[in-house]
Amino acid sequence: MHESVTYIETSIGASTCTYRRWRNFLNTSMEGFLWICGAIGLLLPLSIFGYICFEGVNHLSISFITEYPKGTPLGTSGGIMPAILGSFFLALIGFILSFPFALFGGIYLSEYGRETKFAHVVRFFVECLTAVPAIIYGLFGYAFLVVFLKFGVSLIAGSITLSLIMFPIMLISIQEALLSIKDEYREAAFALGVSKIYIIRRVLIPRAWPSIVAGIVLAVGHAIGSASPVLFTASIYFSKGNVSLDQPVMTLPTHLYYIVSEAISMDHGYGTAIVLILGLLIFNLCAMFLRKVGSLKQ
Amino acid sequence: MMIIYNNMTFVIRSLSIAYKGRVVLTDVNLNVPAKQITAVIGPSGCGKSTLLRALNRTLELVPGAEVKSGEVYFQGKNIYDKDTDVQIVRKRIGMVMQKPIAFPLSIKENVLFGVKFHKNFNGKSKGEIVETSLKTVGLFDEVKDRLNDKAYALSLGQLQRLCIARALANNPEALLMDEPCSALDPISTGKIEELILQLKDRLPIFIVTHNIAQAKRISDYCLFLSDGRVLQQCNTLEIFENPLDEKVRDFITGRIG
Ligand SMILES: Nc1ncnc2c1ncn2[C@@H]1O[C@H](COP(=O)(O)OP(=O)(O)OP(=O)(O)O)[C@@H](O)[C@H]1O
Ligand SMILES: [Mg+2]
Repeated sequence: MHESVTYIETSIGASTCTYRRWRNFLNTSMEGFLWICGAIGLLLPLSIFGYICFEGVNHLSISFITEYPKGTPLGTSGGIMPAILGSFFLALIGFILSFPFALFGGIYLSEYGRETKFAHVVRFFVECLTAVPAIIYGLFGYAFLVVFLKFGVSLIAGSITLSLIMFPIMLISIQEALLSIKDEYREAAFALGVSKIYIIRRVLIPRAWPSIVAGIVLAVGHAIGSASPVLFTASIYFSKGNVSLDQPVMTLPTHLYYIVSEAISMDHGYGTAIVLILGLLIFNLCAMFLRKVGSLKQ
Repeated sequence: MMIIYNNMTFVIRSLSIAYKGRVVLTDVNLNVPAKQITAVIGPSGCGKSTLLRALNRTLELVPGAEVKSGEVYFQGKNIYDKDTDVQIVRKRIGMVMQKPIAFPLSIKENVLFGVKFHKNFNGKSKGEIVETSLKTVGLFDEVKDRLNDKAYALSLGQLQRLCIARALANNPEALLMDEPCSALDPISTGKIEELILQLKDRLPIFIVTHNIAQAKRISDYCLFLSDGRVLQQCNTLEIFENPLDEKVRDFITGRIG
């Protein structure tokens, strides 16, 4: 639609000038190319999600969400309730363990240690940490938490491992969110004779809140979806859905991994994938809501 | 010496200021009586904002800024004494910046921002403080139905008046304004000038301005700075009638700006 309008406009003036016609052709095709690249961003997730839905939607049912796995081999029937619970608690506890450190760490780096050598060094290592593949965290969690600290393969070992993954992502996004607030805000507040803590609490955090939530979503979403950090530290092939800190749990990504790699049931696999994606979707929606509420309050 | 300070709100003695070792303000001396509007004028970069920030110790928020020598007495007490509480100094000497900044809070909470921190209610309720402060700046009728809405929906002129209300709610004993009208349209500027004249009876006001006509309209006393030095300081009428220096004359007749 847009292209055709441009074309008509140009064809009036351009009939006398091939150069202009050529230039407009370039502009139009460039815009079209950029549009296609942008559209890939929409098409890619939609088609992946669409395909998985198409394959697995018949398999979704109430019992799939509320029952534990059954059948021989295990997983051919029944549901994935223990995996949902396991993933939920792993992410929740991991988040609770890491968020305070990320928040206070980000505040320190941005508001107290800005431009100090310490802040630069910390930032460098934290950035390295975000680039470490998830399987390395899994290996570390296994060697240090499971074996050395004798936690065993358990919910707590997995949660701590996930918190290690979430921490650097959240720290960096919180630091960046605070850094992006112009100094004018700090100056205007300081000029009223208030303390730094008061400014952080009432000006900087509310202002950075949407970006902070975005960082949380990124970190937690990343953690829920990864199989490798929990594979050796927290996950078990089968559980009836009881959750306890010192016991292993089933998780959605590892369940998916077992069930597909052992060729147990593709249907079950697709069903699990839908639940995982829906879970992330719901989580994102909650976050969007939280973002609104956070920026509306006060 | 004490006699001089008694009826003066500000007494500035040989104040010199440097940024990272580079001196940008040299040997400023000034006595400011109560109820005086002092205009600070001069070409861009001459040190007007620096001087203003030194008067309520917000200068030290700028990395590298340093008072090299001199004293600033406010109500007879040097605000640069070691035992002064910076927060109290800033509370007592309010400031309004060039660019109005709305905190990410409601209009009401913006007004109460300093008051709540200092627990400075003077027996009044929060509602009363919000109402009187907003009425002083002539904003109350415009926003009384949306006190709980976010402040950044206001227009620039309204925002600047909100910032003044926020400073006044703190119950300051002096007010520093750094080009408070430079981002505003003529109507908003008029409103703020009116407000400044109205506030004059309550507290001494410093105003930095690029607008010579504005300085002439509202100020009692003028301080002309150039390259960090005071070229002329005298009653406003006098500086316009009898500019001592060529630079001052060129500036106030609009030949340089
Ligand atoms: N943060 C800073 N670091 C180093 N030098 C600075 C800093 N802020 C200001 N200066 C310098 O100090 C001098 C005075 O600056 P100041 O901002 O006080 O000028 P001004 O008179 O307010 O100018 P304007 O009219 O443009 O606002 C200028 O030469 C400026 O370059
Ligand atoms: Mg300035």
